[in-house]
Amino acid sequence: MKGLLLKDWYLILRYQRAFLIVVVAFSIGSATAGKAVSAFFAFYPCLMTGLMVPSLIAYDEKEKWNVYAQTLPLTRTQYVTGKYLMGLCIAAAMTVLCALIMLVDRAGLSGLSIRFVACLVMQALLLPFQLWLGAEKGRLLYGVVAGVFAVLAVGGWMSVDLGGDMPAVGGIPLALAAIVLYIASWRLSVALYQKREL
Amino acid sequence: MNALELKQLEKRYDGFTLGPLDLTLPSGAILGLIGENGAGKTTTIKLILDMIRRDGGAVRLFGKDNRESFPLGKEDVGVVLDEVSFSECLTAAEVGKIMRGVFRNWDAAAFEGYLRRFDLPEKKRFKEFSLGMKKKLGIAVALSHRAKLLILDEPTGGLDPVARDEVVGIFSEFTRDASRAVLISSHIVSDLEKLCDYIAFLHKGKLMLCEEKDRLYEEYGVLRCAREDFAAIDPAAVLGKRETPYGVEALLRREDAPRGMDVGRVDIEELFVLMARGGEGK
Amino acid sequence: MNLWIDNKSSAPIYEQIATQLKTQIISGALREDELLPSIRSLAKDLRISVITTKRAYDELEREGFLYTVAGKGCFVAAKNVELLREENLKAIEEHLAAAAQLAASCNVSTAELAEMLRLLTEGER
Repeated sequence: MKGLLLKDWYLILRYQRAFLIVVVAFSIGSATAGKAVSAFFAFYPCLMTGLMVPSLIAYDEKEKWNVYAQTLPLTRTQYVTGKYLMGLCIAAAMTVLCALIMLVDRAGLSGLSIRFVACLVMQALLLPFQLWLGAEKGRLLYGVVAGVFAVLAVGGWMSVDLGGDMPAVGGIPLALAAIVLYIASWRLSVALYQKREL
Repeated sequence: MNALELKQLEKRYDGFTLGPLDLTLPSGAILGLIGENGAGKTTTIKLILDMIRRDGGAVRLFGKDNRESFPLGKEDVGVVLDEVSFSECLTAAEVGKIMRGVFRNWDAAAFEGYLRRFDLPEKKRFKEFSLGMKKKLGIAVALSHRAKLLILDEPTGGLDPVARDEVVGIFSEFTRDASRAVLISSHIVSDLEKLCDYIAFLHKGKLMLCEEKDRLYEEYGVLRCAREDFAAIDPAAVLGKRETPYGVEALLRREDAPRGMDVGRVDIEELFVLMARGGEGK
Repeated sequence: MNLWIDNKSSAPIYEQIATQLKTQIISGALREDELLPSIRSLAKDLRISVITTKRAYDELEREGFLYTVAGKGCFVAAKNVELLREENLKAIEEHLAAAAQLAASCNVSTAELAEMLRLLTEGER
């Protein structure tokens, strides 16, 4: 398991540096930009970070690591769990990053939890499909999910101002709900991945 | 103790069925699993490692059912697949660090030793490796966690003759300890022929034979004769043949050869080719 | 002890080993009661099958060139003069048979063959 996480970490450092830069840039943008664009700035890093683990899985498939991993003393459950842990870490790291930027900017922590939730929910929706059907079909599904999110984000920006009105504390039950969903998604992925022929 | 036992092992796909296979590899021995591309060698290996679900039969590793002993049982198995697939961005040193987190029995010193021995750079990325270097890195990993059974799918493919010789030496060395065993699958056997104690032929998903190598030399031979003489031989005795305008080469059991006709020695590759051809005709 | 495996040779590997060991035992290069390498380590040193090596040893043991002590290994047997003589006679016979066959194929009479042999052995003296 430790080995799997270390490997994913190496991959993030090599392949996903661009992700990190974009996330940082947009988080700064999100915290400092005017209210009109804040919803877009707020959600784009969530979509990006929510995509990091699915993209790691796509690399694993392309490089056939997922096949090779089965020759190692690891279970499929461990493989899936490793990815979900990584996803959780990424969501947490992004949230902490946003929080820091917001604090530095004295913008207050409102809207923080919704970002964490968006990142987790995105992965909770994507990962089971990807682990079940493979990265290719999973990516297709991402298009759909991202589209829905975009619509929601635009809709949210037009109806309620997410960046401004969502109180940080009130977001905690929502964050907990997202974690529950994430755990359910993990259980589902474990079951689905068990059945997959690689 | 047997390092590996396959009992009535079966896997069914649309248009291709592997098995039922029965195969035994005793500890201390090296078995060569030979077959053309698509014969089912890789499928067999994947079934042994439970990478794909079997449809029937059993696989036992050191006396234990593979499914029961995995994943921990895989600590004891060093595997090199036909395509060595580490992430392309990794260096050999990083692969070592990852494996330290994967195998309980990881031997970092042994791994570094193999990297030096194979002349593999520690800092170069895997994607810049040549085919031979990739293979060598796979072999280095397989040998560095104190495995008792090596399972190697085409381990010498892509290696130059010098590297091949080196690798063959390592496989031979591995079984100096009689509690260990090696399963090598390959479609070329010339460089592995000397090494193997047992030979199994896989053809179109079926095991054509599995035998001590030396007994194969004794049991089978090639008769080289004129067409007229060939006609006199019982067709049922001919296991495979190759005809040219100038004569016939026929594979038969030595006991079936007509008296007075000289039956020549057959090497494993020739035996396999002729047998596979014979199988086509029938 | 010296051993070579000739991949090009038509003789089976176990026979190559057995023959070479036999020659060295006969010549005295391998002494009586000398410990031979274990089957497995010889096989691994030569990179050949363990079964092949075992076969060579079995052959030699059957012919009385070596003996096994359980748990200790294989040793060179006491030289049996009668056995050596028999062994050599067998080889001579084989060579002569080959010569006779060759002679017959080009109409060399037995008398001529005998004369040849006489001249050859005289020349050696």
